[in-house]
Amino acid sequence: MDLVKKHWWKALSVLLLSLVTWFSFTLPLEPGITSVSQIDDSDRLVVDVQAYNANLENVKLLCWLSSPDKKNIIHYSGATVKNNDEVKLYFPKPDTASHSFYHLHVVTSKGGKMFYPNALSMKSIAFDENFDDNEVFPTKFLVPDHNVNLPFQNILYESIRNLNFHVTMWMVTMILLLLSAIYSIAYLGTEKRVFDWRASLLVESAMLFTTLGIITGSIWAKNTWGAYWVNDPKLNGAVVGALVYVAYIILRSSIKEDDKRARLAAVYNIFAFVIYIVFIQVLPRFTDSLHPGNGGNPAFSSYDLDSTLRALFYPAIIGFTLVGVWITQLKLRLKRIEFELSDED
Amino acid sequence: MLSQSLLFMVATVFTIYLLKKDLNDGQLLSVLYWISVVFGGFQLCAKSFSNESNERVLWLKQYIKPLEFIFSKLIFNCLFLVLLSLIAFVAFCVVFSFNPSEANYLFLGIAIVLGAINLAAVLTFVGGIGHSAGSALGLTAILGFPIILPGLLFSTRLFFYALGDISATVNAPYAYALAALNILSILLISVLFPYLWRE
Repeated sequence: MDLVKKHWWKALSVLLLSLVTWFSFTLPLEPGITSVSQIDDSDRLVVDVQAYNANLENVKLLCWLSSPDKKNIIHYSGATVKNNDEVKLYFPKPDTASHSFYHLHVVTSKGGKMFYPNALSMKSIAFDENFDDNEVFPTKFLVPDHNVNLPFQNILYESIRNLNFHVTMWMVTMILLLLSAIYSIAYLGTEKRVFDWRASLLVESAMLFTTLGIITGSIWAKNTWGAYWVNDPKLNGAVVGALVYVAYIILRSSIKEDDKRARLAAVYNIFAFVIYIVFIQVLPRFTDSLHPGNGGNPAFSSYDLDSTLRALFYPAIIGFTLVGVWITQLKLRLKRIEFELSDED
Repeated sequence: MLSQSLLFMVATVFTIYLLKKDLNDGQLLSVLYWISVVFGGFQLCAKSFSNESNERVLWLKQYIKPLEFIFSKLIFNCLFLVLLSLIAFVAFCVVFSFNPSEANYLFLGIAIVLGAINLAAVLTFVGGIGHSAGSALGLTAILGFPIILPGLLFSTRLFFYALGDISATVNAPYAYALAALNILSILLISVLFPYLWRE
């Protein structure tokens, strides 16, 4: 019983990480539209739609175009399914009036709702002033069995699974560094040696997660932005943050006396943490960044951190944080043994 | 020590001039200007602890409170680095016959003063850590460089925008950020320095 009380969180971390890893790689992506091309016919509008994961041959379709203000709606008149991922849609050609962008909606009876913003630009007639989407197109009845899916994002596609690992690494790094700064404050307050050990070992574990965060980010960047390393304030911040803490490790190694090393390292650690947060969280907001949530790009949460992804993302943070603490604890045990041995000499 | 730093600063500016004689690009100018201020800062502030003799430090530790000590050092170093950077700016303008007539003088002044204060404060503190650690300059450079970067980025950007007189709406956030960073660093230093001073 005592064993359970002491070690339950380790089992929890293993369980959470296994579940997160399993579901992150096995859950299918929800269907989405990758590209739309418009072929103008004489009497009708023909739109060629490339879809992803849509399984179009086995489902019923319902499609319409809507203007951004939802006032103009054009219902489709027919569809030719070429294969599972490609379909030709026919729309009646509107005669005159307002020129605007149209969003394309495709609803399938199996996979749910697909949406492509600003798909077409064309002229149309005003349909109805007060139009209700759901009234005319009963989308809810068309989705009988909604599966659990990961969200579809253009450009990201399957790589959205990496969110559970890449973003998590940085969250865990920051949590571990925060803990380290707190232990440094505790050391300055109490002068207990164990706090100093914990602070330094947490920094070492955080550096491990930083490395993993850079590696996972690099792979993701290659697949979405086209290069392993791009000029982006968050990337530069990551490197400078790593430099700050490498300097911390060098500072520790260059002082021989235990008390002095602990005191100076704690002072530097607290200062470094504040600068690190300024660098990685405040500075990127001043410049353009490719990362979501910076420089005009919307944050992940605002458009695609849906409930499925959230249900994986938060457990991943908890699981990886516990693993980080676990690693630190093992290192601490090693340090204690080393200390006891050197004391006996 | 003062004339030493002044000479170092002017020599840096002249070296840059000898390496590249025609410098009309505002961006390059602001980068080189801040690099030379950083060198001057290291020369002045990071060494300000190691310049004290050990007996004097021992004496000071017995009779003076840590906050009094660090604030006297901070005030002196900040004022002197501000003076040095102003001199360096004048030297830049003279040597490269650069005419800052289009510049927004208010923000230019804010960039130089706040940027120099930030550099001086952080480098003085890091110099204190390096001095306590026993190895003065090598360690100070390693500890100092990543930590001065946020303030340096803000001040370089602000300086560059002010040179081209870009509107205040663009400049103001950088000035606020720099001021906030200054307040934050000085607060942190005043909280942390007493622990450094303890022996």
